Formats: sequence, C-alpha cells, structure tokens
Amino acid sequence: MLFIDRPGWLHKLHPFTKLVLLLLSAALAYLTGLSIGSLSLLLAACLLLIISGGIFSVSAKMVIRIFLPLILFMVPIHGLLNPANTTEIFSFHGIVFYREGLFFALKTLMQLGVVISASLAFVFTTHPADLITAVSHASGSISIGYLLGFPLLLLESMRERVVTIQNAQRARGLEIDGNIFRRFTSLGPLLFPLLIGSIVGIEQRSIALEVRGFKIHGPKTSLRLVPDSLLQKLSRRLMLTLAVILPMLHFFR
Amino acid sequence: MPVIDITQLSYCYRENNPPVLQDVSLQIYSGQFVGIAGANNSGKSTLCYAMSGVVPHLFHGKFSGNVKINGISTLEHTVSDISNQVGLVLQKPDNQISGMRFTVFEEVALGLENRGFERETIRKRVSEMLNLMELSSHAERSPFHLSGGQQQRLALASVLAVDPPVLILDEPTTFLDPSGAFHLFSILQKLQKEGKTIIITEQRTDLLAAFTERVIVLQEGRVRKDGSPQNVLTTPDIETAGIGRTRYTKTAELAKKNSLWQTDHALPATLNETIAGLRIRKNTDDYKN
Repeated sequence: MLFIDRPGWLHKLHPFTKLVLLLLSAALAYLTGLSIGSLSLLLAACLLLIISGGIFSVSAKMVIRIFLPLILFMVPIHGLLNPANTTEIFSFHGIVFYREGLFFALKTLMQLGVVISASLAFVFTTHPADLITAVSHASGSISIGYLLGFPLLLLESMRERVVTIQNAQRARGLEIDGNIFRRFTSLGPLLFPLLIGSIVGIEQRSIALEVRGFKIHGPKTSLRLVPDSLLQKLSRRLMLTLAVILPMLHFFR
Repeated sequence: MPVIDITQLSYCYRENNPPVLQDVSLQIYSGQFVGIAGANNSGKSTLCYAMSGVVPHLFHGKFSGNVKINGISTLEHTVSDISNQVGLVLQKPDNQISGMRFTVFEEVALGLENRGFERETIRKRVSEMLNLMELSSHAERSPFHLSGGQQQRLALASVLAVDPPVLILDEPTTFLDPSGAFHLFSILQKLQKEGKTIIITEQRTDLLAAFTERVIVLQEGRVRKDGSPQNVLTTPDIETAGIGRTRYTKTAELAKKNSLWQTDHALPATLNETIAGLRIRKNTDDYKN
C-alpha cells in the first residue's frame, strides 16, 4: 500500500475529486497540444500540489527512480536519431546532437511528468479503503468495490504465501537463486502451488463472504466515512467538462 | 421445537458420485453445545454446510430431504439470509478473511455494514467482539498480518458480531496449538451459557468430552452414534469410525484390566470423571481395609 497517513488538505479531498484532477492533468498534457512552455507551467502546478500536500520527499524519490533512466535513454536517443532532426545544436567527433529531437524528448518527459506526479498525488494521499467505499457508494454495488479492493489486499497475502512456498521448495533442494536460466526453471514449482492454493482459497472465501451477508438485500451502511462537499462535487463537474471540452477544441481547431 | 431440524438428508456433490451424507435425521435444540466427530470424508463439513444453507445453494449437487432452521427450510432462503440465524466458521483461518477490509476492526464490521446497522452501533458491537476475542490490541492491524489463531478468533468475532442464535464451527482448531484450541472452546462454552446454540466438528475427542453436552458420530455420511460424550466417546466401537477415544478412557480401561477401576463403574471421558472413578475405587478399598 502506497498511502502515506499524514494530515494534509490533499488527504481530506474526496478520492473522486483527486481522480478527476488526475484525469484532467492527463487530458491537458496529452490531448490539448500544449507547448513546452505551457507544459512546464502545468508541471509546476503539479509540483505545487505535491509540496502543499506534504508528500514532496517521498514523491521526489519515486520520480527520480522513474525518470533518471528515462532521461538517460530518451534525451541522447532522440537528440541523435529522431527522424525530424534538422537543426544542429552541437557536434562531437562527427556525432551531431539536434534541437528537434531534444525538444521532442523534453516534451514527452514533461507529459509523463505531469501524469506521474498527479498519479503520485492520488496514490500517496488516498487510502484504498476510502476509494473502495466511494466506489461502492457511487455504484450502489458492494461487488464493484470488492473487485477493486480485493486485488490490492490480496497482493500482500500472496507475497507472504510466495515466501512460504519459496522456503518450502528450498528445503526440498530446489535452487531458486542464481542466474536467470536457473530462476526461470524454478518458476513452475513456485507458481503451481501458489495458483492451486489460490483457487482452493477462492471457494472458502466465497462461502465466508456469503455467510457475512454479502448478498443480503436491503440498505447497507459503511463504517468508513468519506467526506464530500458541494464545492468538491461542483469542482469535479467543472474539471470533467474541461477534460472533455479542451481536447475537443484542440481537435477541431 | 428444535432450532435445527434435519429430516432424511442425503447429498452428493456430483450426480454419479457416492453420497457424502445418507439419510441423516437430527434435531438440535436451543442452547445445546453439540460436537460432531468422524474420520476424514465422513461428511462433517458437508453437514455443516447443509445446516447453514451453503449446501445446496453454493454447491449444486444432488440434495434430498429437508433442513429447517427455526422452522424455516434452508431451500427457501439464500445463504446470506440464513446467516442471520446461523453463523458459520470454517477450518482455514486465512481463507475466511473477506479481502474487502484493511483493518481487523473493519473486517469485523463487514457483516454489520451489509445489514445496514448504524455507524455507532457498528462501532460498539465491533469493540465488544474484539474484547471478547482478545483482539482489541490488533484492531488497526491488517487481518492478513495476524497469526493463525488470531485469524480464527477474528473469523469467529466477524460471525458473532451479527449475533446469530446458532453458531456452526467446522474444525476450527485444526491450525491452533493445544492452548489456542482450549481457549477457543472456553469462549464457545461462555457463549453457550449466554444462550447460543453451538455446533462444532472436531477431531480432538478430549475437547469434545470436556466441553460439549452431546456428541454425534458420523461414519460414511450416516449418523453412527448420538448421545452424551461419556456414552458415545467411551465405547470401543467408535474407533472403527476413525475416532480415537480420550486418554482418560484408555487410562481407565487399562486400570480396569489391572483391577484398579470398579468393574461396574462406567468408563470416563474426562479428567473429572476419571478422578471421580478413582475416588470411588479408593473409598471401596479403604472400606475393605
């Protein structure tokens, strides 16, 4: 779970408000044909969001981890090899670096930067349980909330089960460490018990859910309170409208 | 009127497979603490499923006969509806975690949320259940991070939160150590004293003898014996049904062979019955001397 539990205005926002904000950021970055200048303003706004939300340090670590390899690959590759390259910036022993490729790489990285920083703002400040509750409330179906939440929760239990199976297989003499080939050949004895265990577990889990009244008719309540407000509801509508209209305006211009 | 009334119940999971339950008829009355014993594949789990509506609603095998909970047939209601009357706790602790909630507190609250209880009522009820199951200090932990014994108590707390009058537990002590198993039975005994009907399948006959008031032995899907633990668990032929007699019965039998047990005194199933029997023998010896 990536959620960071700390007080902050972003944490208090309804999950859907943050989701729509993420959607709007992605639409602006990719579908409205923003220039590098406008994109840098949008990126700065996302950065401001992260700083004011109190998640800067953890987001910065994640962004560096994602972007450093991308910068190291994309900038030289496009600067040197992009088919649109015409304007030379500098050359070194016959290797020519071009302006068009550099700008293309920068624009792509900035678009990605906007979406990733908005996504991080969402995942670091939204408890998955709040999202599941909000989805269940909005859809009126507990099953949809379950479909969303179960994989998130099961991941942790699966990880623990993998460690148990790994230890059991190691104890039987299976070599699961070493080179890629050896690791690949040991995948079968690791994956099959995990898969079979999970399938067997599903039957019992479905019984456990039924006996807790999963399909019981009548109104349902929620222990978890996900606060919403009229202002947020209006903001969501406005942002959704912008996310649809602005790309359309760009498309038909 | 019995709280659970089973009439000529037969069931097989697939059409051409041999039946798992054959012509089972049973009445269980309110407030009873009933143990069900039997070897593997004797039909214990299927009987639990039938008493909670899981069979035939979630397993679509061949079902005949009738199961009534408080006079209402399980065939006419869904498992979720029946769960208001009957709480079911299964064998494997981790498979009973719903996978829908992030904390132990929320996990216990799930059944109450599904029934539309008010938030304050849910909080109060969940806190009571966590106290009862000694899980209060784990309320904010992930259910997946609890030990097997804690997860089993969590499953019981989740079922109990809804306050069903009948509790059915299918081998809940399989993954528990002896003290954990004893603790669970002590909790069940407390619940029985509060008026709940408890039905438990269990392989450990010493626990059945110590806590239950009635033992039903299943063999190949049929009821082989039904009576008080002392009557049922001390007879030698239960071993042919794949159930071991308690260590107290075996000790007293050995004592009888060595003339250390009154020949006309019934064999014991529990420690207290053993002590009582040895006391009678000692008093007779003292009288003779």
